[in-house]
Amino acid sequence: MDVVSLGLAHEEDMIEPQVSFQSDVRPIKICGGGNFTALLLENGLLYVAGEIPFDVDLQQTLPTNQNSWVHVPGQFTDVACGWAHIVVVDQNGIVFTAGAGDKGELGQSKVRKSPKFAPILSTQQNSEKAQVFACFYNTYILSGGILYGCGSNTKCQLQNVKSRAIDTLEIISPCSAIVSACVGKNFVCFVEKSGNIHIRGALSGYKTQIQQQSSGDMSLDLKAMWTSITSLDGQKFSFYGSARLYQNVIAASQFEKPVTAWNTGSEHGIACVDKKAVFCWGWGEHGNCGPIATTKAIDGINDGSNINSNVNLTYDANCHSSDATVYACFGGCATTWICIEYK
Amino acid sequence: MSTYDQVEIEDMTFDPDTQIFTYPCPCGDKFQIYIDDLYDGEDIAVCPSCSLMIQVIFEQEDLQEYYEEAGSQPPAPVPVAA
Repeated sequence: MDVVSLGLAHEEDMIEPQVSFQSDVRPIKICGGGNFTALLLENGLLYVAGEIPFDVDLQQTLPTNQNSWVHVPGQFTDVACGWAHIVVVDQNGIVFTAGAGDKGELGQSKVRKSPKFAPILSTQQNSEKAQVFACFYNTYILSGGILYGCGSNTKCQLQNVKSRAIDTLEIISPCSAIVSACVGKNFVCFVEKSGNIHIRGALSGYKTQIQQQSSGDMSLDLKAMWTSITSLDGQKFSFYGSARLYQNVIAASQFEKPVTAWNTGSEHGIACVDKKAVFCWGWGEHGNCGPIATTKAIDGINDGSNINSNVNLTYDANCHSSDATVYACFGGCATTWICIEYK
Repeated sequence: MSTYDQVEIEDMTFDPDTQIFTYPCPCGDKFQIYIDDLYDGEDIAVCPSCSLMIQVIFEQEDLQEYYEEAGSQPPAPVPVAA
C-alpha cells in the first residue's frame, strides 16, 4: 500500500512529526478516509491529499506549494470523510457528497460512484451551520438539532430493522434537540441539549454506562475511534469499547496540566496538554503514536518500534520554539495531525 | 490467536474477478482472504500493510452464493491415499 495520506511528497510511514502543510490561515478540521485526507482552512478553502476517491479539476485549483495537497474548488464550512467518500457543507449550507460507496453512504439514491460533488441536503433554512460526520460506510448530518444519516445499516445504526444499505438520508434522531455527535464503525453516538445520550448500532450497549458518567451539565466531550468511544469530563478520560490495541490506556492517565485539545483516529487517541505537549496512545503501528525511548528512526521514518502505545509524548512545542502553541489535533486512519501556530 | 475484530461475511466485499473478500483495516489498507481459503476452513483475514487480522464469521454454506456470483465452484476435495 502506498501511504500517501500524510500529504508528504513520499510514501513512507513517519514516526516523527513532519511539516505537511503551512498556511497563514488556520486549518480548522483535518479528517481521514481510507487512504486520503481532507484539510479545511478557517477561510473555507479545502485541500485533499492521498488516493482521492473523486475528481478534482486541477485546472481550477489554486496553486499550492504544500507537498502533495490538492485544492478543491469552492468554499466550505465543514468536511468529513468515510472510507472512500467525502461529505462537505458549502458556504450556502448545501451538503454535498462525492466518492464511492456501495452501502448508500453517498446518499444519492442508487448512485454508488460519484466522481463529482452532488447535493444531498439543503440546510440553508437553519441559522446554525450544519455539521457533517462520516466513518466507514456511513454519513451523518447534524442540522437544526436533527441528525440525518445514510449508508450501512447492518448493525442498526440508522434504523431499528437491520438492512444492508440505506441510500437516501433518513432522520435518525428521536427529537430536534441534538447538539453533538460522534461516529465510529457501525455506530453513532449523539447527545441531546438536555444531556441525554443516544447510541445506535454496534456500541449501543454502552449507553447506560456513558450516561452515568455524564454529570448532565454538558461537560462530557465524546469522540469515537472505529470500535470505541472515549469521553473527557473536565480532566478525566473514560473509555468504552474494544481495547485490544491499548486504546483505553488514557483512562488510567492523569495530566497535571489542562488538556487543551484532543481527538481520535481510527484506533488511537491524541491529546494536547497546556497547548504545548501532544500525547498519543493506542494503535501506533504506522508511527502515528510517535517515537519511544527505543525508537531508532532514520530521517523520522517509522521503524515499527511503537505498535501498541502507552500514553506517549509525541510532540513538544517547547522543544521547537517558545513562540509555538498547539491549538488543535486530529486523527485519521493511523495518522496524527498536530496544528501549531506561532505568535 | 488474537484478532482485531470479528466480522460477519455479509459485511465484507467480494470481488468475483479476484475471488477475494476484503474489509477495511484501520491502517487504510484492506483485510483480505480468498473464498477458497474460507471454504477450506480458514477464517483469519490478514492486512497486507500491517499486523492486524480479523476473524471472519461465516458458515460454509454461506459461500455458495458468492461462488455462483463468480461463476466458479468450491475446490474439489483432495483424495486421501489409502
